Amino acid sequence: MSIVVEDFHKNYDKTIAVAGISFQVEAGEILGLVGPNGASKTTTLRALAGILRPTRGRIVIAGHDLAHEPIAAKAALAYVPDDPHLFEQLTVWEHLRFIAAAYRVRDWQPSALELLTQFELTEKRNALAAELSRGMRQKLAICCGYLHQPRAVLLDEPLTGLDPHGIRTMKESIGKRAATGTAFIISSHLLSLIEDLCTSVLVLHRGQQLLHGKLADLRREANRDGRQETLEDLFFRLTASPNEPVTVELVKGAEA
Amino acid sequence: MDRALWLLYWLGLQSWLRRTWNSLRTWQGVVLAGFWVLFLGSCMIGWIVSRFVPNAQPQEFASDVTVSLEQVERVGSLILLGLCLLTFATTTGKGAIVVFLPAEIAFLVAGPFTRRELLAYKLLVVLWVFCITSLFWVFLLGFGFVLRLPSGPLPARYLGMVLAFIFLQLVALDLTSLAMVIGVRAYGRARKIALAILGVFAAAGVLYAIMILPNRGLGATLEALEQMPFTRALLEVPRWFIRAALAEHYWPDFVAWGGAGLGVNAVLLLLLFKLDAQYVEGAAVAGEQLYARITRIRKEGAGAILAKSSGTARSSLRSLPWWGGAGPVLWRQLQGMARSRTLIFVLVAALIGLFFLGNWLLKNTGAPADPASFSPLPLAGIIVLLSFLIPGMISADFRRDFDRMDVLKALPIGSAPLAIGQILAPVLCTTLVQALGTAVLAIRAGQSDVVIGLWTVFPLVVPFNFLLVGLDNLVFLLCPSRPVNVAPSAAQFSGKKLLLNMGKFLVLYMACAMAGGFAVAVYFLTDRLFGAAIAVAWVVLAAFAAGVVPLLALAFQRYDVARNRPG
Repeated sequence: MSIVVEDFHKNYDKTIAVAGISFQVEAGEILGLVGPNGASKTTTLRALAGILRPTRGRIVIAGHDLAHEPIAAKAALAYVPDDPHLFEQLTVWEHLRFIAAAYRVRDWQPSALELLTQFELTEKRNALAAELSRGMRQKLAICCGYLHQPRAVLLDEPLTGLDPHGIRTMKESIGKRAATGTAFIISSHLLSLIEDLCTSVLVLHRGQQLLHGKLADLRREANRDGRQETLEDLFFRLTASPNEPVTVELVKGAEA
Repeated sequence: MDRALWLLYWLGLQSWLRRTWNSLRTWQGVVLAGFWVLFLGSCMIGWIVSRFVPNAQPQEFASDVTVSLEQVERVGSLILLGLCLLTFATTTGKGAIVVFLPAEIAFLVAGPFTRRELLAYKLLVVLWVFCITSLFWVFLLGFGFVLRLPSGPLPARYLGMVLAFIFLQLVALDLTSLAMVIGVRAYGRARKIALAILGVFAAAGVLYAIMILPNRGLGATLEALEQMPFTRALLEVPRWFIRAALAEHYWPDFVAWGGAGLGVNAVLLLLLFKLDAQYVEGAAVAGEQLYARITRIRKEGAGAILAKSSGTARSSLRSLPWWGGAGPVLWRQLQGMARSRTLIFVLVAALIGLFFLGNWLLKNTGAPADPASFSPLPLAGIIVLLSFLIPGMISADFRRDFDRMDVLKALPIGSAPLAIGQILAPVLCTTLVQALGTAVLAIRAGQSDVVIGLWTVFPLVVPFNFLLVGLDNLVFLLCPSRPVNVAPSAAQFSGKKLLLNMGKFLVLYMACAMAGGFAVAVYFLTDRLFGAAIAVAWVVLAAFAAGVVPLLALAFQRYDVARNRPG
């Protein structure tokens, strides 16, 4: 398993942000993290990235417990936040140079050049981060995430600000890396992206795990009793009435 | 510390040098660099002359500014101890020991670095800040004209100050770390007990001074308190740092006291790393809050940070007439201003400030005891000063809308009425505060002459405010920059902005000089008719203010939302 989350809780004083969620992401699996605003998707991703400490529960990345072996766990992980904050005073190339040093990547230059070419940043190689557009900043953050060949990648709204070519490149890169065994968790409000890319889905609502299962099972659930729902319809039905029961297969899927 | 973090330092330094070099290749950069070279050069030459040319400075002047070593040591130790106690009293354990910037959260906190490595990285940043700050203080106290330390080895002064700053910082960090390790509640209890003990000792000391040493001055009483064993024990460690900073010779003074201070800091540092508190989450959250606050100041002006929460949308101002398009634009600015509560904060702060400042001025200018010697000019000066302070705090004009310039450009409103609508809100608000302030001062002064004098010249502030805010906005549109600028490109703009601001003051000076000149002429031509003189001055200022509108409109038309993004 690339990512294991067991009974994850996060409280802020008396406010419960996440109330005990558990799931696993296998190598090569792409998990879509969906839920309305305030569902605690970003909190979950930030806890997985080691930025927030769980109040209770256990997080394991590539076999390393984040609480006990944080360095080994983080070395196997890449986290790209929704609003990419870069070192404004460093150039594009210097960002990659720093990431290579931080993650001990040897002979990183060819991979860095390849990534810059793939994400059309070659011409901006010597530009300061402060001079980049929103989309280019997003691309650079993704390049930084990919450079050390992580075993698990956490992407928070990865398509924000990208141009059509960038969106296609991004989708292709996720598919290719997943095929080589990288586990992905993608948080997004774009259900079409989740349907296109993800192999499984985790629906959160107000910090609670509403549903977790394979996308195929989810589609079956959508078509149960001749309903012919789209994933979007199912999402609205679930989040509108979170206590409505779902099929046994999906619950089992969540427990598995 | 991880070598990647050293690399980050190195890249940051390279970037700073690169930016500085790039800015020096522009004419604005050259002007700015020339200004700094002139300023620092003149200070250094002054110091060299006073140090190496005997009797270059008049003796009586030198004796006024140079203070004795004993005085500085005594006061310095007390200040350092006071700061330590203040740190102890205010460190509740709930704060963050360091603050991570958003980029650091994404790349360093989520990166493969240990807590200790990240702490070391941030501490080195703090050390760098202290090195710069100490340089400033050594410069100020070593060559200062207000207060000057007795001569001594400057590197020792400098290192002593750096050690003292680090000591204060480490005390705060250790206390917060301790609170994190033992728990905020347990730490809070222990802190309260310690503060109570300190309070008991302080009360006992004061009682002792009152009962044993009656009828002695405050200085003598303080001296007696300092000699008490408890106070001496508390003052001992801070005194080491002060003695290091005041060392007259490298050996043995500086080596002994500097070594002792270094030892104390080493122990505190060791304790900090030994405690290894779980600070990362708190630091990340504090960083995000700081970033959000900076973003808010950028959007709403400096007053917003103290106005705190934004208001509710319960009340809404009535719509204004069309006025060629200026009405709706003005309404939007006024509505935003009222809802952000900045206006209320500015009003209250300005009125309280005016009350106390006016009170002080009235006492120190002889009024109301001696009405004949009292001049309303200082009070009028305070009122005019508000014209420069308040618009920047409210920032309800083009400067607040730098992220919405495309929306403004898309409005079906002409450039001139739009410009008027944009700048009228701060003008009205400033005038309102000044009117209330004048009323407060007039009531406080309680003299009819002063009241009449202030109110007679008051109409002049309206065109003056319009002219000032208009020029401020013109500078912004010609050289856009954010109210709080953390972008590296800011340096490139500073030179150009400096020159534009100089131009702004030149125009203001010309307007005021012409208004004053015409007013004096009319005053004497009309056989000392004061009202006529004020009316003429008003017309001149209003003409200048009206002249700014087409310039603003033109600058707004030429503003390119794609290219002229604020730095």
